[in-house]
Amino acid sequence: MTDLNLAWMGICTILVFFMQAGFAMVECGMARAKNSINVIMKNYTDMCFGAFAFWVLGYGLMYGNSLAGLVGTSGFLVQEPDKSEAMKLAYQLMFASTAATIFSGAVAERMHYWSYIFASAALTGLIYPVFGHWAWNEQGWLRQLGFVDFAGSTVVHSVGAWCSLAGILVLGPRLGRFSRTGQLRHIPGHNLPMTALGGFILWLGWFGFNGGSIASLEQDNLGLVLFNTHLGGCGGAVASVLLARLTRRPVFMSATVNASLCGMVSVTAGAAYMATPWAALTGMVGGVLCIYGAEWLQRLRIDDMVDATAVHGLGGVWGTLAAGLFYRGDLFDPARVQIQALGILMAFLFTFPASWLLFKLLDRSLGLRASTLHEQRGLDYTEHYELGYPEFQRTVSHGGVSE
Amino acid sequence: MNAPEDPGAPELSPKPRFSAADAPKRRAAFAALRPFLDDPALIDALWLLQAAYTDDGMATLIAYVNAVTGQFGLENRRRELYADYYRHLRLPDRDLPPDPWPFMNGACGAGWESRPASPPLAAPPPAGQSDSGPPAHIPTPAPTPAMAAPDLPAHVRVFDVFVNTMLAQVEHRFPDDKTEWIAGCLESLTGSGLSWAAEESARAWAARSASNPWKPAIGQADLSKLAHLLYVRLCDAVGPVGADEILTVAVEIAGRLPDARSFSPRQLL
Repeated sequence: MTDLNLAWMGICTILVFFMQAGFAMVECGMARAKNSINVIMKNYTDMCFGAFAFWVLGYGLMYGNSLAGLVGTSGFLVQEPDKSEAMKLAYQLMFASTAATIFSGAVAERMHYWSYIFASAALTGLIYPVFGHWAWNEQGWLRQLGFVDFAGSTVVHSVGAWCSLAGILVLGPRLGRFSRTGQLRHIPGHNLPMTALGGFILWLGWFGFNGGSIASLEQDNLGLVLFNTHLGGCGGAVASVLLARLTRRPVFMSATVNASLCGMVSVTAGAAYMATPWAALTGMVGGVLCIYGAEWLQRLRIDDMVDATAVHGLGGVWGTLAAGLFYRGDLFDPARVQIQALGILMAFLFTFPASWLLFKLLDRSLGLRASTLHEQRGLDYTEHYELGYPEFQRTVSHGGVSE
Repeated sequence: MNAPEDPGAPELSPKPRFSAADAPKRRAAFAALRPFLDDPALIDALWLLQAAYTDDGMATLIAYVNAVTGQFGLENRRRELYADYYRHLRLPDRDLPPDPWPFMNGACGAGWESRPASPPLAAPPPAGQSDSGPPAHIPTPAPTPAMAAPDLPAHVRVFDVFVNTMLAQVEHRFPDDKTEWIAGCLESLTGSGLSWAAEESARAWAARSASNPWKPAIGQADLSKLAHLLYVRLCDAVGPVGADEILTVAVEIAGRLPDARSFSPRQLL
């Protein structure tokens, strides 16, 4: 790797790290004030625990010498990497952290902190790297078949989303989210401007997320990747706003932010392989899917606080298909689309059951679900003994006597 | 990790004391409630006003009437009482009875209305006497607006106002969901781990079969469990946002009671 490429990768690593702040802001803003510290703590510390999990175990499983295309068997606990390896390790660690942090928002406001940390570390160190090996390791069996996922619509985003789905199904909805007759109750976030700021930060970080996935500055068209990324985000937002207008829905800011994120998730798999009009279309379809997908999940009484399953799951599925459909020079090739579909399916078939099992085990051992009393008091107080906004929360915070 | 500053410290509020500014409300409430309540109940209702419902605003008026009608079995008179209380609040001074402050403080009998309506305001309190209580010539007020059972311990009295404020808020804001809430609470009582006394009291409260169902023997832990049960069922009935708002109002109102000095309603949470 040339010094110029190393420098660019370094910048991208920093940008992808900054996405953690974006996720934290998006999720915290959508949570109620009494759970804001808990959301921030999860985002802040899953990255830290996940770093050890990925360094010790995950990186080797993902990029080590392949055992039958299934799993890596070397490269654990890397101690003296050279320049290129060190940069790759740092950059891939940020990716792994991103996959892990996706599900923090979905399960927010009712999951025990320590169970979350354990699940997050297992996702970063075990589940994500195994599927990542299949798709991104040169000897991975999916990659050998021709599966393409440029920066991780499936590898990062769908894996995070399927883990989210398993988590929220095991956990169940928040207290009062649905009435006994199934009626949906909106639980508005406490700081939507914070959510919007998180959206901007994620968008900024996405340039590093996709831009850093090029093989080299000399070989690949960085400008195209960055432009397609931007078009995807814009397409998602524009489509959601137009959809709201056409269907006479209110134009929600939070839904627009999510739609733009879904647009970028969608374009992530093919950002380097698509012509710009296709990237725009991919983002727009992603935005629409996100809106309808979130509503569909709500009708199924699935309580995903930030709609992570719709944004990252449906966006990831569609984006990975789109990367095959709109592959430059090989448009609408059924064989390619078939392989893409196989990769999408395998991501679900591996991640969802593995995550389900993980959450069930955690539920039996550490306990997954916070009690209703903790939901009443807010997880800020019960998990961290700290209030996000003490000036405004004293009235309803616990008096410290009864349990 | 920084702990919040003493989250257990109660929000202290002074004992209800004489305030000339509240006199119009006392007079209006007295006039509106006198046709419906006997003297002891009327005194309780007026102390309830003094303790928790002296703020201006329609919401407070409604909450007070809800609390009184719920407490004294006047549900079928609620609409009439809203109108009466509101009308009396708008009447000129000359059309209202005197300030019932002496009546509230034990000056029962036919003659009290002819006495000076209020304690002398101009005279400063004797040296060393705090101005936080009623003037010395007036008998010590009941320590609490304790409705029908002044011998209840502080935590029970605080809980009583807390729970009745929740009820009044539900009736006011989510009238269609009240039945579901109460039914949900009753369902959850079985197997809730509450003591027999607490469970029976809660059933009596839900059925409105006693003017004051809460027994002195009910402990704080039971009342906390009961408060949580009410909250959980409220989340089911009206959603978590409405439940949190109602909980906040109930804590605030109960926190204004004199008893909240010894037992903050936040200890119920």
